[in-house]
Amino acid sequence: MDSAQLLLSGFGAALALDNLLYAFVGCILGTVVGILPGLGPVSATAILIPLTFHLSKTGAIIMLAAIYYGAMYGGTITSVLINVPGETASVITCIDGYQMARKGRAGAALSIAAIGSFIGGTVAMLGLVIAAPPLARKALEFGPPELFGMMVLGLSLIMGLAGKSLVKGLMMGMLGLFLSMVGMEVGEGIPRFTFDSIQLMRGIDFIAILIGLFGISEILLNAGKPSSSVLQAKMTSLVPTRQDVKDSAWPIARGTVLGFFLGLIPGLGTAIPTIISYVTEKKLSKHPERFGNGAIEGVAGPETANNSYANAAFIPLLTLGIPSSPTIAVLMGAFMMNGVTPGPLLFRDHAPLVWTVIASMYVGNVILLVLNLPLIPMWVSILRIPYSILFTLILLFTVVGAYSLNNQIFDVGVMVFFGVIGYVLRKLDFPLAPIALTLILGPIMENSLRQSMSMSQGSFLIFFQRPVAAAFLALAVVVLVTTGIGLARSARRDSEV
Amino acid sequence: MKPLSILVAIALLVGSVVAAECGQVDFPKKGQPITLIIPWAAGASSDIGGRLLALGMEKELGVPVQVVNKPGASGQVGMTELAQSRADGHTIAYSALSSVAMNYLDPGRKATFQRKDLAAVAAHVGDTRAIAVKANSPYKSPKDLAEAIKANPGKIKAGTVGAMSDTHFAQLWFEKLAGGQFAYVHYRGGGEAIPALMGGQVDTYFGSTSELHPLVKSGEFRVLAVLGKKESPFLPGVKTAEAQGYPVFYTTFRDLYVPGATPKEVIDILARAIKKVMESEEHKKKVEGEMGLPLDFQGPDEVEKAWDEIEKTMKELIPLARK
Repeated sequence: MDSAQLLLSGFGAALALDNLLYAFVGCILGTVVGILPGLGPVSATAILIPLTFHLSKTGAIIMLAAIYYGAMYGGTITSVLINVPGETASVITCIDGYQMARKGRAGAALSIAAIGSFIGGTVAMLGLVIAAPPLARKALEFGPPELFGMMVLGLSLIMGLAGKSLVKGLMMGMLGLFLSMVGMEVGEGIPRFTFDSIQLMRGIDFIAILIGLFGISEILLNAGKPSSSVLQAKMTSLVPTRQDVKDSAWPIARGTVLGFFLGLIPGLGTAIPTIISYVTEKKLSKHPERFGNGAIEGVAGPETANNSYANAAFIPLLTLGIPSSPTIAVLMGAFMMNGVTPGPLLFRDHAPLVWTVIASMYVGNVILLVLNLPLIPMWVSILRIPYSILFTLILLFTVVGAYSLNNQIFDVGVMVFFGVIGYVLRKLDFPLAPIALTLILGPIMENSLRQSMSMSQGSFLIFFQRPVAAAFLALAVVVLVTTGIGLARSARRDSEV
Repeated sequence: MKPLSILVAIALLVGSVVAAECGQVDFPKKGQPITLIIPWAAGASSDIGGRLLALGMEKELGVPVQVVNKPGASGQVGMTELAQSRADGHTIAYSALSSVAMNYLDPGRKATFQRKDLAAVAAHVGDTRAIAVKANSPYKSPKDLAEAIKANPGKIKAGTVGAMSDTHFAQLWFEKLAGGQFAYVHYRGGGEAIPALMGGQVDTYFGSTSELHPLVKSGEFRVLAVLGKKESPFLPGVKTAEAQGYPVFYTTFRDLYVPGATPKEVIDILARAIKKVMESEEHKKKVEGEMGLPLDFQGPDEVEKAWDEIEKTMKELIPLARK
């Protein structure tokens, strides 16, 4: 039980006053970064790296890691309160989290998100200690064909998100796919739908689109209502009810497992686990109609999955030296600038440092929980600000956020444009969730398809020769058929009535 | 807008005449910050290298140097912005020479700037590429790999960090010499391409020394050849491709640029400051010692010469990538 001992001594070091302080500062900074839309953990860590030069090696890495997983907590807050995703990992939380807030249950949503994040993060770290190296190596076999299979499965589940009208849902899904295709095409590096605009060549930033579709359109909708009725609901309770906890238990458990395994796969990004978790929960739910109207499962699952993912993504970094997401790549840079090269030799050459960092991530998850739960009443009280004042603040916030995505005023324009589009779509009762899903899944699906095709020299057989890919595709067929039959049945029932 | 830009142009003209008469330029202007455009997303090792340089330049020049990331379209967004900036040395950019040249030479991209719109200041990092395979790969030398792609064209999979990227171009060059063909699998960055090689999704990857050397040390990868004029201290015992009969040279240079019309004196002041930063022990320790990015200072004239060379290379390789 060598590693248990090492972990214990790691805890000893992580709980030393200075390291505890770095973790604490990192958690606070991470929460702030999560709250600010646009400023994501990637740029925040990159910008802060020079500041950490004055700290000890261990201290610097502890703090930067804490910023990273702290952002996963913070992003939830704006999604729930004002329908503006703080960063990619919390896009999905907007769908049900904000609806909960409108019903006066923002407190419950934030609490469950914090608890789920804590469980997801902690369990993923446990996985790191127990089974990391062989698992991480196994995950490398998950290549483009498998990824493509998984994306097709994800897209097939979108039918379930369509809401009242399947046609409208599919239209929105296609719109999202289309928007994701603007820019430099990945296979040949050829500009697509760019009209010779250098701004379009870079592709439309999907976060700018989503801040517009969700956040700005919400403001426009509310502007059309009498101001007193916007947040009509009283704050019923700040803590989750017993029923909430019961409803969230399984989504949290599933989100943890899902996030953990997806964290081992390179190149997914933080949004994918949340989407997969959301569509899975809706598919498994006995009351799928509650999703989109403030189902707590729709917050609990994805919020757990993103934290579990964020912590599990450290496994390929620490054991194999591969950064599986852009933020992890920044952290890898931080390790290397401190003279520590992540990889198979890390646990041998720098054992005390690694175990201290791992232990501090447990500690950090506790800090975040302790930090977040008492702050929830404060966050929720933001909603008590009269809406006529609040909306100007939200607007200011989103404009700064959209600009800071790429330091381009163009993105602010994109946000406003899609705010208007979102307003029109919502007035016409089109569901917005499918756009978010295909915008995020689309590029990964396209890349993995192109990559698989170059691997197989253009033969589609590759998807059937690789068992995992074939299994995903088979599952997608099952989903499509069962959803289709279900829809046909309910359509017949409707026409008989 | 129009009258203003004419006014600015006149002011600049007058300014430069006055400066020329005085024999020295007022640069950097006190209290006026320098903006350093990095045309990639924050966080890549190349971004951090640029940020470290900015920190040093701040001390040398005595004005704040603000780093702004303007990512997109393989650097084209940021470099277009630089080309359109005021040519007073207060806006500079940090980019890779090869992608800058590719941006305007690739007809598919509808050039948004030309070479004359930019001027080189200095080279910072020269990260030589190397041919990597998995440690248990059957290929032990460039010759093995060359023969394999000749015997089975299109069967050996080569990972890249993107279509028309440095990895892609280096592989195209090798392919041309070998007379064979790779199957290209384009990933988005080294963060995806390296795991792909580790997991056996691809057979080879022409990565940069800085990203490969830790994985060679840990026994994960084997490097068949270094694509430099000489061997790399980071990869001891590995011969150059040229010494093994395949004269492929590919080094990813990270250089500093200013708008084309920037006065020579300003460029020289910037280059001197960069040289001083790069000579400091602290900078060497951070960038070379710890991040493994090989520093390679070159002045403006040397970079312009390297630029001529890369233009020639690109003109040959771009049609191959586009075929």
